[in-house]
Amino acid sequence: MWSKFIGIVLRKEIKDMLRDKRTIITGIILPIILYPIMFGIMGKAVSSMEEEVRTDTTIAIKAEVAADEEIMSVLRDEVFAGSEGIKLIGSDDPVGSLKNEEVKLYLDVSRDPDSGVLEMNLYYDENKMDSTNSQGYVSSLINGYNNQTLHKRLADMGIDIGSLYPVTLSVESISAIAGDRDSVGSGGIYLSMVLPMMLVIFISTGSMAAAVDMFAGEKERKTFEPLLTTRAGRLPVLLGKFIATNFFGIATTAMMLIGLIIGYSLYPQMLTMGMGEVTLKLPALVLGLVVLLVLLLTMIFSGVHVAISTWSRTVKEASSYSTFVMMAGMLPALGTMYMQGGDIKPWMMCVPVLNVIGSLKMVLAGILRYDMIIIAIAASAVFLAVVLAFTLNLFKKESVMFRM
Amino acid sequence: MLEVMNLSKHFGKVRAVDGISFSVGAGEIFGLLGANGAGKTTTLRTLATMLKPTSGTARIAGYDIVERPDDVRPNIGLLFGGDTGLYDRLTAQENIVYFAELNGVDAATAVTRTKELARAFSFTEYLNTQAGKLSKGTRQKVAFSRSIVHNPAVMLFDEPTVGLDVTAKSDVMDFILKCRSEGKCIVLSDHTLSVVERLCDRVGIMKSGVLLGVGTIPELCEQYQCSNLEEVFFKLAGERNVE
Repeated sequence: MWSKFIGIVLRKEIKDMLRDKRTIITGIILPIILYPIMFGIMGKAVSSMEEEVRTDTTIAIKAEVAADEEIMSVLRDEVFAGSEGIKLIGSDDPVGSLKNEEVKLYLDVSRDPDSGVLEMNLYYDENKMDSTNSQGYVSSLINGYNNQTLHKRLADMGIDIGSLYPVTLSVESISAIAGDRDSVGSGGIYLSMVLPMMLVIFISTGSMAAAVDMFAGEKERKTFEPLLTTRAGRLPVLLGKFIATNFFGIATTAMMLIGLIIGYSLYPQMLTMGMGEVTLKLPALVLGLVVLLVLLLTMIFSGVHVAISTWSRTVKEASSYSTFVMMAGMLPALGTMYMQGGDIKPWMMCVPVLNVIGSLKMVLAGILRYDMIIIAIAASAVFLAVVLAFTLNLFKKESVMFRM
Repeated sequence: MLEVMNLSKHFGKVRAVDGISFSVGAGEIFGLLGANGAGKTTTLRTLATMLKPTSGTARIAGYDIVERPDDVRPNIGLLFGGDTGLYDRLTAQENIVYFAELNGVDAATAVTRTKELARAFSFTEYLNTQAGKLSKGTRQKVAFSRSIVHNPAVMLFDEPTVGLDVTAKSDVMDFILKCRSEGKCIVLSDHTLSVVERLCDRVGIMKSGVLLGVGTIPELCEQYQCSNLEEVFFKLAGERNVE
């Protein structure tokens, strides 16, 4: 009979919530379009910045230097040869021109009277993105010209540049020789920094609106009173609503992942912010365990939101407290953002939220520690049981359910 | 059908209900009359098993509310007036069927019974309208239907006519009388004397959680040497915030 009542409550809650425009927008539409739009905007911004640097970089030069045809000839025909977007303009006040955004850079050039070497100082405005980007571009052109000239001069003198270095150094990831893990690619490392955080944000927010509506909303509407005097009793009502809350939490997370996949297929380079490809291939068992862990975390957050919403008198009160929980849940994600998979310690597997982030980081780094993932799953299950027991206790308290 | 025995409900030092006893038979309407804070709603909530009595108990349809609340619940229909407590995004029919199913009525019977109630209450054309779009009167009819869709033996109505216009109030009162004629046991709390006078077979007057007098209106008038219920009420409760 219990399962029948749980099913009735679950069916009603899903139907009810799916008719709520806010749920559809925040739980389904927003997560699915967020990443494609974000990747698209960022992709466009990055390519337009690159394009602007290549096609429009105006550099101020002191007027007297600009009048020196010999220096200008070196700059135009050698250092910046082939770089059509670079415009050199003479200025009586190049610093002022840079400050006033009339130019993107100021290049101070003088010739050493003894060696004849051109000494350059490149000034840029660190508070302006276009100036910073132009500085990088122009620096690379000057350094490239320097290296090219150095190689040519040494070659003219019959010297092999390789023989001038005392040592040579090649840097490789351990995955190239250890054989116990796959190379995840440089993109995988970036992904392990941001994906766990994104996932925690969506997991912690996904079930919030549903929990608030189904519990605090029910109190506010005064529908709890007739509901709790039905034959169904309290536990099936609580479980039916809890499962429905999870449904929306999982749906939101799934929509976010679908959005991520769509965003990746449309703008592949944006998933890792242009930091390379993700080459990791995970065994099905690991993938399954990680999915289980993510589901458990979704249920924990749902349980916490349900407990808060049960305790709160109004939707407003429940929303405020749940927002605080959501932000508290993000702290472990932010605190471990710069940790790599290899930095994860076993004790972290016992701490909810942190264990999911740690497991994801390890897996994305190609470190497949089944023992640690299983500890994480067990710890999450225990924590979930505690949260549910606490919520059930609240649900049984008439002073909480029918505050007067 | 319903027997209340020395029932008390305290909230800390506040004695919301203090040792009240009364009984209501099948086909009878018992009215709880009292000013705000007299303990009427707490009494009904305790009888509905939402609150656990501090002491004493009650038997509803043969089941003790303390020992067997799970058996009591299918036998009661509960309605709170004023705020009808409907799910605004569900249709009128979905609201009623949901509660029927949670009271153990199978889905097909629940739909049939919902349509019968809609005909009886004249809101058939609104069955598929979301509750949030219904008028206050129609919402109250839907709430009524929801509370009795599982055909309970005992009905607990807390100020069922509050906030309704004259027509809706009359419909609700007619319906309560119809329920009585069908043999239902009804406990009704209200502080509108005209409603109590029209509907109730017996009345209990409450003040500060205590039941001061119980009987038919003529019995109470005779016992307290008054010409009408209003006088009895003022004499016993000493309150004037009733309509």
